[in-house]
Amino acid sequence: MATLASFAPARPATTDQPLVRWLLIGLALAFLGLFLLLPLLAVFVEALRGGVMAYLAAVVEPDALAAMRLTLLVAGIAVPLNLAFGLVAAWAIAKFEFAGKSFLISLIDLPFSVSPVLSGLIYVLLFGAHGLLGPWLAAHDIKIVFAVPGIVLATIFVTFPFVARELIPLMQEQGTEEEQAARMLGASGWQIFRRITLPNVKWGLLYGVLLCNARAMGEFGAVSVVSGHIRGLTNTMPLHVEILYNEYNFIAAFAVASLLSLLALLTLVLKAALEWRAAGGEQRR
Amino acid sequence: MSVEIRGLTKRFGSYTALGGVDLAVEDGAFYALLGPSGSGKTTLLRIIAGLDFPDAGVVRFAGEDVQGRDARDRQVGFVFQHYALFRHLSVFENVAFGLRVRPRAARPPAAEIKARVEELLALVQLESLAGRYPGQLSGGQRQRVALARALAIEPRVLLLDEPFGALDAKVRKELRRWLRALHQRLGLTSMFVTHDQEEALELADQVVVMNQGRIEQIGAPRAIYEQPATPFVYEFLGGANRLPCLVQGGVIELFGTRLARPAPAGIEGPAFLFVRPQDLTLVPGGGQGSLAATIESVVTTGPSYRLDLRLPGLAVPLEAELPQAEFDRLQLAPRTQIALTPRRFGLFAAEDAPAAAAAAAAEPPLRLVVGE
Repeated sequence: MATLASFAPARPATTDQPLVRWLLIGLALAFLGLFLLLPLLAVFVEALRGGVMAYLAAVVEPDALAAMRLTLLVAGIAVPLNLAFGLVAAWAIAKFEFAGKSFLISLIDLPFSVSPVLSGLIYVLLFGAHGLLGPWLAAHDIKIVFAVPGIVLATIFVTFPFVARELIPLMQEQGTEEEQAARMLGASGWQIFRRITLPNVKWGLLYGVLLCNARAMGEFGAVSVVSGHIRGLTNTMPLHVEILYNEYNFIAAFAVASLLSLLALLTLVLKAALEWRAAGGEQRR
Repeated sequence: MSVEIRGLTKRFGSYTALGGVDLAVEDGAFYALLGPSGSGKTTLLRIIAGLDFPDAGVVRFAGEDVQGRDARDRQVGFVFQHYALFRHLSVFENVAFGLRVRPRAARPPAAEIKARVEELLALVQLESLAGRYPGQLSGGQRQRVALARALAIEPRVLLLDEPFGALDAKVRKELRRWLRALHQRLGLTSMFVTHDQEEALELADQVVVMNQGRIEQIGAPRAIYEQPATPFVYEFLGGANRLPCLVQGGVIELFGTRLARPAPAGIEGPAFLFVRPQDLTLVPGGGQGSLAATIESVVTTGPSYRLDLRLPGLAVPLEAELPQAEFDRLQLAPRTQIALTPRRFGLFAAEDAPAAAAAAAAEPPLRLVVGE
C-alpha cells in the first residue's frame, strides 16, 4: 500500500538475520492460511462437492430464497436507520459540547461490549409473551418476537455502533472551522451539513456503512434468539445455514454459506478500495 | 460601514476574556487589534463576527444593533487563522460558495457567479489556480483564497484573525504590503488580530492595544509607538527599560542624579521611568544631569548595536541600542565609562506600574525583531 511504500526505510528497521525474518513471515502466513484461508476454501469446496447443478439447486430452493429475501430486507431496514443515527450521533458528539456527552459515547459502544445472545434476549424479555410489554402487544395483535420486527430490532441493536464509531474520530479531527467559515459565508445549518460536513466524511461514512451492512447480513447470535427459526418466514441466511447443517444437508448448507462468504469477500474488496480512495484524498489535501 | 462596540464583556468560566471593551471603528478604516495571547483580541473579533456571544454589551453595525442577528446574516467577511478552506472543493468552488448558498431569489445566475469568482481570483492573483484543491496550494496562496472567499459575499466588514500567523517571513512581508494596497483600493472597513507589533504598526490606520481583556490604548501607529499611554504599551511595543525614580517638585531624580528634563505635571513621589533602548544618548566620560554607567557587553544585530549597560543601583542591566555609524563614531567597547541621557521617556507613578509588571512577567515583552 502507498503508506507502507512511503515509509520504506533506506536501512532496515531491524538488523535481524534474514533467516529470522523469513521464519517470522512464514509463521504469520502459515497461521493466516490455516485459520482463515483454508476454512474459506473449504466452504467453497464443500459447496461444490455435488457439482454445479446441486449447488444451484440448493441456492434457488424456496426456503433459501426466502432466507435471502429476509436477510436483504433486514439489512435494508437496519443499515439506513443506523446510517442516519450514526451520522446524527457523530455530528452531535464531534461538533458540539453538551452535558452527558461521554455517557452517550459509552452508550454507543454498548452493543460491542454485550454478547449478541444477550442482545437478542433483551428483546425477548421486553416484547416476548411473558415480557414486559408482551401482554399489551398481544392485546393489540402486534407480533415482534419470533417475527420479522424482532429480527430487525436485534440487528439494529447489534450494528448500532459501526457508523458512529467510524465517524466520530474523523469529525473530531476535522474540527468545526470549516463549518464556521460556511456560516460566515451565509450558509444555513442544512447547507453546512450537506455541502461541508457530509462531503468531508463521505469515505468514512461509506466505510462505516459497509461494515454495518456486513454485520447486519451476517449476524447470528442475537437474531437466533428472537427469530423462532420458522422456515421460509423468520430464517435469515446465517440461521438457514445452521438448520441445513443440523439436518446433515451439507451441500446445501455450504452452498448458502458460500454466498455469505462471497459477501464477506466483496466487503473486503470494497473496503480496500475505499481505504485506497481515502488515502488518495488525504494526499490531495 | 462603521462598527461600534459598547461595554463588551465575556467570561469563560472564571476567566475574563473581555472586561468591558469600548471601540468605535469608522467606515473604511483599517484597525489592528494588538496584544499578547490571552488578551481577548480574538474573542472580540469573534463576537463582532457573531461566532461568539458576549455576556453584556452591544455591537452596532452602522448604528444598528446586530446582537439578534446570526453570523450568517451579518455580512461579515471572516478570514480564519488557519484559513478553514473547504478541503473537498476546488479554489473556484471555495470562492463561489458564498454565492451558491444564497436563497434562490438572491442567488446570481451561474454565468454571473462565474464572472464574479473570476474577478475575485484576478484580484488575489490566483486565476491560474482555479481548478486546484486547497491541499495543493502554498500557505500564501491559501491565505489569498480565504480572502477572495470572504470578499465574495460583498461583506460590509472584513475581519482577519492572525492573517499572517502561519506564513514564513518573506511571504508574510509580501502579503502585508499587498493587503495594505488591497485595503486602499477597496476601502472596506477592516479589522485584524495580531500579536506582532511590527505587523500592526505597518498595516493599520489605527492600532488597538489590548491586555487582559481590556483596551490599553487606541491610536495611530506613530502615536502609539511614540506616546505609549500605559507601562504595558511601553513594554509591549518596542520594549523599554524600566527605571525606578523619585519625582519631587517636578524634578526627576534617578539614582541620585537629577535629570535636566522636568517631569510631566501630576506625578509626584515614587515613579517608574520607561525609556526605549534606542532613545538613550551615550557619551563617553561623564556629564552634568546624566547617569554614569559602564558598558557590560556589546552585541550586533546587523544594522545596529545592542549594549548592556551596568548602572550602579540597578539589578538588571540597562539595554541601549545604537545605529552602526553612531557606535563607530563613539568608539565604545566593554568596560567603557559612559554618561547616559534619556532623550525621550515615559513617566508613570509607581502605583500604576505594578499591574504592568505582572502582565510583563506573564508574557515577556516582545522586542522588535527584524526578519523574524
